[in-house]
Amino acid sequence: MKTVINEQNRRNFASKVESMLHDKLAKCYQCGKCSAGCPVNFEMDYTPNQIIKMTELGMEDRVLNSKTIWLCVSCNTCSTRCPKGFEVTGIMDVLREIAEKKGIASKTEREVQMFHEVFLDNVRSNGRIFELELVGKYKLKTRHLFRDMFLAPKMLEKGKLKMYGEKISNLNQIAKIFKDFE
Amino acid sequence: MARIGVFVCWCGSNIAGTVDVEKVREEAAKIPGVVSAVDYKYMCSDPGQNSLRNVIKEKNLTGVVLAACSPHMHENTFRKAAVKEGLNPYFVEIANIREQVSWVHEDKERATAKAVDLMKMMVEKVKRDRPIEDVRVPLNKKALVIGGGIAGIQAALDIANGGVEVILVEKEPSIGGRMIQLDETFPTLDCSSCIMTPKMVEANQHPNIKLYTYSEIEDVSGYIGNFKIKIRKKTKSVVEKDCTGCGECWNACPMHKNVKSEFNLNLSERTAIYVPFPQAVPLIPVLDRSVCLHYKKGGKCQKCLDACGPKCIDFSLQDEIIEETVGAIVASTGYDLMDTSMYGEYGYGKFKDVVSGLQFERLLSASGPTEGVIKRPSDGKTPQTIVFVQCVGSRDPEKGVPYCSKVCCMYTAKHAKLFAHKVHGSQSYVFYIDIRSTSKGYEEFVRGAMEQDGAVYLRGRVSKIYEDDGKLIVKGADTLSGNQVEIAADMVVLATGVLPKKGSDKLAQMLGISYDKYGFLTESHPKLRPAESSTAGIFLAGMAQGPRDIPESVVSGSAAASKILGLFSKSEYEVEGTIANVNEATCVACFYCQRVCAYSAISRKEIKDRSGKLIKVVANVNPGLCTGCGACVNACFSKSIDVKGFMDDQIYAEIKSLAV
Amino acid sequence: MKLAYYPGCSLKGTSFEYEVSLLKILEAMNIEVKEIPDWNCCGASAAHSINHNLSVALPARNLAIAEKDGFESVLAPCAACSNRLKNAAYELKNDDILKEKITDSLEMPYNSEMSINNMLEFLIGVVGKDKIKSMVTKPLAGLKVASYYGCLLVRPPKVMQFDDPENPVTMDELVALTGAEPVNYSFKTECCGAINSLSKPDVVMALTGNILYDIKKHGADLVVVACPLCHSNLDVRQKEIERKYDEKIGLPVLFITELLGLSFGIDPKNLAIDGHMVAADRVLKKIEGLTNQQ
Repeated sequence: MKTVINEQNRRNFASKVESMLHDKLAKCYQCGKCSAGCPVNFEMDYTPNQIIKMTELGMEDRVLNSKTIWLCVSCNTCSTRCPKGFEVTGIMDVLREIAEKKGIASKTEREVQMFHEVFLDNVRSNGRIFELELVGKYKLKTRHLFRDMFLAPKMLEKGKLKMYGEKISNLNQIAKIFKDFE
Repeated sequence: MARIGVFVCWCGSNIAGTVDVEKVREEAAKIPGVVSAVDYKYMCSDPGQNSLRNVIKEKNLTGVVLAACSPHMHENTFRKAAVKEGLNPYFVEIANIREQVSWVHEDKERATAKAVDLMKMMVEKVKRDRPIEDVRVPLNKKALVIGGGIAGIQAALDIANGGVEVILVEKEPSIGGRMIQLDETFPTLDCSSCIMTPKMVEANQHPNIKLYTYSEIEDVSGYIGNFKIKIRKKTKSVVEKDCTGCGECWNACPMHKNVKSEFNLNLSERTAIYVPFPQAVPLIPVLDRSVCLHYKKGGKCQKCLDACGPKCIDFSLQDEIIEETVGAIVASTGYDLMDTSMYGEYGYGKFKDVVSGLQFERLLSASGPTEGVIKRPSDGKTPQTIVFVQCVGSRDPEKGVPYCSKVCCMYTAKHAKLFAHKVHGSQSYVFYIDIRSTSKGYEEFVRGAMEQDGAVYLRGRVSKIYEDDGKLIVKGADTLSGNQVEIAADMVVLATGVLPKKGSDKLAQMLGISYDKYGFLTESHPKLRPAESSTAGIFLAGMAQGPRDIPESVVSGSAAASKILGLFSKSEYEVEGTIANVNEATCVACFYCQRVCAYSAISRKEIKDRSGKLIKVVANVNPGLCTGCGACVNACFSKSIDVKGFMDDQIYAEIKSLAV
Repeated sequence: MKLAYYPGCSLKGTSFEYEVSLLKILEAMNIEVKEIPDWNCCGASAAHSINHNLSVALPARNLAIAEKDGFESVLAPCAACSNRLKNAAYELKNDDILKEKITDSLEMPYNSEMSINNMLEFLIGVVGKDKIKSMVTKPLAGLKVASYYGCLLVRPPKVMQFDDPENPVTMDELVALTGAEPVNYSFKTECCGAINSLSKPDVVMALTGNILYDIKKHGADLVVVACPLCHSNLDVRQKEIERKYDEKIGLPVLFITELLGLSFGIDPKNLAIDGHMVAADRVLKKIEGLTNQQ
């Protein structure tokens, strides 16, 4: 793979990420400890340390379309062990947020992305999560109608799936939070 | 009447490129008292210096101003030239128009104006210069070396071979330091004991070296040429002159298998009365009273004394305080290893077969707990697969230190080689971030570990180590292939980073020398004065200064020694005369000066009349310690202190010259 | 001290057993907590994944309400909720600009002084070991229990300020108080994949499987957790994992509050232990046998 570095684009992207991250990309010296301990590294297309370097080099398209940013489970193992105290988990959040704001729909991990979107919609309309509604809407959207369905009867029997959700009373305030910060 | 000469240097284009040197010369010529103003391409060159001397002679100058580079660079050069023409060296002043003007400014006009100002100030200063005589301090030609590792031993031997008496003080029961703990050494693989033991013996037997082991520095006072030292010689409970080192006592001690051996880094046990290792120098045991049954059980046990032929064990012996006076000191206190148990993810301290690099040295060493056969601590089996992890504690500002410990890349390559040589068919894996192998033969050595001895290098750090079915599972990354890797190992060796010896900061405070935030002793100048500490007469050597390997430690020991031999080659030590001077008539003895003096140079002086009656107490400056920094001048309420060469009237005149 | 209680959505739904057992043991110990009125969802992993400001603003509302009602300390038994609340409190303390934006939006002040406790911090720090010990009437001696901490309780340590992130011991200490034997194993803080439980079930099963098989290998009778998400992966998906890897696990997964309740002599039914997908019958029988012997 060859990448021609456009200085202006590189700086724009790197500094945008840095300002959202409150951290410096140059801090990372590519020791790879993040990738060594990442529990989901085996599914990723780029290792976490590669994502950091690619961001520094301004490879915006590749980073924002990577599987990695959506596969990251935010377990914080990387940041906890990072010898430089770099916000490795944080950069994944930042890159997801940029992708989301740019309207980039992940080609490979759309289901992960969609789950976050449906989840927040559920919070927006109820103030709390109504699990049955969340799962239902998510299944409709992803069209995985029957995945995990075998769990449902037993969960119902055990009382784990409530048929009615609770709504908070001051939904206006939630609406305002979403309006102000979305 | 002042007759001043001003010499403006071009320094090639260094100054002349940014400063209009002719203009500076023209302005100088206009100042009253200036009888000669010249400019020249290189004032420091032979023709430059000759023209300086000629003008001094011809115009009968009373003072000289050089508008040139920093006084750090050539003040001495020009002073020497002036002295040859009979001028007091302190009648030479430098206006620094290079570092402070041409190198830091771009606008030629404004730079020239600043250069003129600086030159004018110096002209006013030199007009008011008084002759100053350098101070001479007598020298006690005896040296103290603190720390008997390779650097300290080298320094002691070099000084002693130069015909000077040396006192060598070592905290541990034996000299030899860290080097004697090592097995073979990179990049030549000579055995550490084989090359170290002869030096230890030589130091012990040298007629010019007095060796105090199991001893610590208790107090230091005085100054270059005249340091007063107190040494605490901890009691060994053994009458040293009678001891033959036969070993009957430690063989008889019932405390065997109970006390962890410090020398073997807890990989074996020692007795209560012990020598740390068989080749110890001196070969005299020490009795560790904190674990000895004699002291624990009210004097009942004396099995060592019963076994001792010459009956040289004495349970009642006490620590001794020894006082010495020396002219110079070498601080070579060495290093410690970081505590690796702070890496919870690596399980050091939890998993027996995760060891530090220095522990692995002991497992390799023929004098070690396994007699040189590599056996893992948990079950004594010989490992077939070892994973080496570099940069553990080093280059890790979060859990360890940000600096590189320098020796780990090389000793890890050595470990991999020795493992391959000792266990045929074995395999080592090395996790590294960067490989630093920058001395003679080092890169070839590391390549050899891979190409000849089959070590597999993976570029990345390890994230976690855990036990599974008797194996250590190492989870790491290889960033070059972009993969997460897992290796099942029999043993893991952590290349633990180095720290200055515990307590070296306290010693530095006692010596009055500076140290960095980690506790490493700092050089007077990192490049040009690497053997000198911040205090005159105290020199540095070895790892006490920062991470370095054996050859560098030896070089630094020799460097400190040569500095001391050079110092002692004169009968007296000359100190620059620009030191603080107390006006005893006006001093009110408040001693604020004493409180601000960073060099402990100010003491109380009693003035008595002829009958011995105390008239008054005043501050007194020790010329051997004073550096002329001027802190006391500022602190003095009664304006009773001046620094020679920087008198109040001179400073005021300099400032006044700027007023237009 | 007035103690605020932030249950979070899971405890009102799939992890109702956690709330039932929690309230039961608090009642037994005579400790009163008060639910934060009209609390809202903390935003969980979804908010921080795609909208940082929202991930601070949503928990901030709960903190501000708690503060307004005069609470100084919040118990958030769900590890994910306590993680998000602590994160938000940390951001509000360290990012003045964001704090101003958020308090403006909420039209409520917030002083950044709220102390947030996860379940384990609450039990050890607020309730105290002595108190818990004094409650144990049916010691669980002979029972081998593996404590699974997961990610959210301990990481990131800078923000969580709780226990040793590599070798946590708090839950093991609680287990020891019940008289049971804590089991050591290697994956106490490995991630179960919680956040992607619904969207990447295969990945989650691989991660969770690793943990469960390791616990099994180290001889535990059961697992205790203090996180509804961990519970849901370890318990709800356990059958599926057994099928996928074709190896039986059969490890009941209890909340720490349930284990404490059992040692307090509370009837298992009142602790909602029958609400789990993996039946705990065998373990309960073992406990019955053990306590009868004593």
